[in-house]
Amino acid sequence: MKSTTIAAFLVVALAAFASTRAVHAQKACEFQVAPSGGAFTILVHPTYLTSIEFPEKIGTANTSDVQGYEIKRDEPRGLLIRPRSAKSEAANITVQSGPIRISVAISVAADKSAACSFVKFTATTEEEARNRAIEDAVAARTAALEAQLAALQREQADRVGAALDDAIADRAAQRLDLYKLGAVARNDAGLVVWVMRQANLGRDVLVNVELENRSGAAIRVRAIELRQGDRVVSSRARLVGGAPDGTVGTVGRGAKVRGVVLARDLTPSKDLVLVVVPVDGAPVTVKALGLR
Amino acid sequence: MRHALALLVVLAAPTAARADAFEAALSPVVTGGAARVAEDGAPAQLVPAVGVGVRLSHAWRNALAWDLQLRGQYATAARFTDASVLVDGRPVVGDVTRSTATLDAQLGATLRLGDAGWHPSLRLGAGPQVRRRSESALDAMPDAVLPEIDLDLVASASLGLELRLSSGAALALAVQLDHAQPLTGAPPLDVIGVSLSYSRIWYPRWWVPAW
Repeated sequence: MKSTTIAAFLVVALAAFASTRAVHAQKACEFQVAPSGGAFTILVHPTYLTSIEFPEKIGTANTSDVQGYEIKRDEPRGLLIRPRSAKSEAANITVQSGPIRISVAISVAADKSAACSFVKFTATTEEEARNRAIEDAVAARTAALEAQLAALQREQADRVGAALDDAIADRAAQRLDLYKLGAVARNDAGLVVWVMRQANLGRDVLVNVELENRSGAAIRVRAIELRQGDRVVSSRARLVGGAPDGTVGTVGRGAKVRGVVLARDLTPSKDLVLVVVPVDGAPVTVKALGLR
Repeated sequence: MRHALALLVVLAAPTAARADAFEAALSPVVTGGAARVAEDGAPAQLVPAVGVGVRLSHAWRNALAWDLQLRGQYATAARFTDASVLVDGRPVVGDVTRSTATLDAQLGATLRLGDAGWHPSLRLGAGPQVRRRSESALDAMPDAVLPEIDLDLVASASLGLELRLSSGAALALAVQLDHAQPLTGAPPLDVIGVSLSYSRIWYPRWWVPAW
C-alpha cells in the first residue's frame, strides 16, 4: 500500500472522528413565538454554521452592524449564520416572518457547547406563549431555589460536621481512655458475643463487640444494647456492614462481625449488661462486663 | 420407658450450638473395658477393667482443644501360672493372683471432626502413670508376694462421637486404647475400653481473642 493512500485513509478517519465528535457536541434550540412576535437571544460559535428556521416565509430582514458575522438566507424561511471570529460583537436581526415580527439577538458563546447550531422558531398562540413564559419563569425560580437549598444544606452539613468535631474534641479533652475487656456469652443457637474493649470519650462510653455465628444459618441482629436492670442505657449500636432493613446487621454463617455500642453520659457500674437481641432466637446477655 | 424416650429425643434432636474456640470444658469420664495384664514368665491375661477420671480442656481452635486429664483405673485380679516373682529378694516361680490399679496424668489434644449433631472426634494423649500391683499368695503361701509400685509412660488414643447438647453441655462416647510402657521392671499394660464423658462448657476469661 502506498504511503499516500495510508495518509489519505488516516485523514479521512480523523475527519470522520472529528465530525462525529462535533455532531455530538451540537445543540438544537427551540423558541415559541406568539402572534405578537418577540425578542430572543441565541448563542452562536465560529465552529458551527447555525441554521435558523422561522415559522413562516421571511419577508424582510433588517440587521444591526453585523460585520462580525456571515449571514445568508436559506430560502424560503431560514437564515444561516456564522460568526467570523470568537470576538465578534453582539448584533441583532429583525425578521418579518409572515405576520410575526421576531427580533433575534446574536452573541458568541464563550464555550462552543453552549452555542446553538440549529434554532427553530415555532408559532404558537398568545395563551400558549404566556403559559410557556410562566412555566419557564417557574422553572427558573425553582432552579434558583433548589440551588439555594443545596447551598444551605452544604452549609448546614459543614456546620454540623464542625459541631461534631468540636464535641468529640471537647469530650476527648475531658477523658480519653481505652480498656481491654474479655466478657463473653453465647446462646444455644450458636451466637457468641465477645465484649472486647471499652473506650471512654468524656462521659460517653463506646463498647466494642465481636459477634461470631457458630450456627448453620445467618443470624439477623435486631438490637445491641447496654442495660441497667430493665432500662436501656445505650443510644446507638452499629455492626460493620450495617443493614438496610432496620436491623443492626446480619452475621453470616460461620462469620465474625465487629460492632460498637454507644452510651451517652454513662456512669459505668457492675450491674450493667450487654444484650444482643437476634430477630429469631434467644437473646445473648453478657454479664460481668468489667466497665470502668 | 418415658425417661428413656426423653433421653432419646434429647440425644437425637439437632442442636444449633457448635464447639467454639476459647471454650473450656470440665469433663468427668468413666471407662469400662478389658486390661491385658502380665507377669514375668507367665502368659498375659485379659481381665475386666474400669476407671474414672476428670479432664479439663481448652479449645485452641473451633476444631482443636488441648486437655489435662487425671484418671484412675482398676483391673480385676488375674491368676498367673508359673510366674517369676521376687520373694525376699530372690526370684521364685509359682502361681500368683494380682489385681492392678493405675493413676495417670495425661496431656492430650482432641480433634473435633465436625461440630454439629453427633460428630467424630479423635483424642491423643500421653503422660506418666503410677501402677500398683497388689500383694499375692504364692502357690499356697499367703501374702508371700508383696505389692509393687512401678512408673510407666502411658499413651492413649481414642476415637469417638461427640454431641453438643447446648451452649454449656456436651456428651462424648469413645473407644479408647491405652498402652503403658514401664519405666521400671514391670511388664507392659494395655487397656482397651469404652469411655463416656459429660462436659460442662464455659468461656474462661483468661484467654480471649486478640483484637
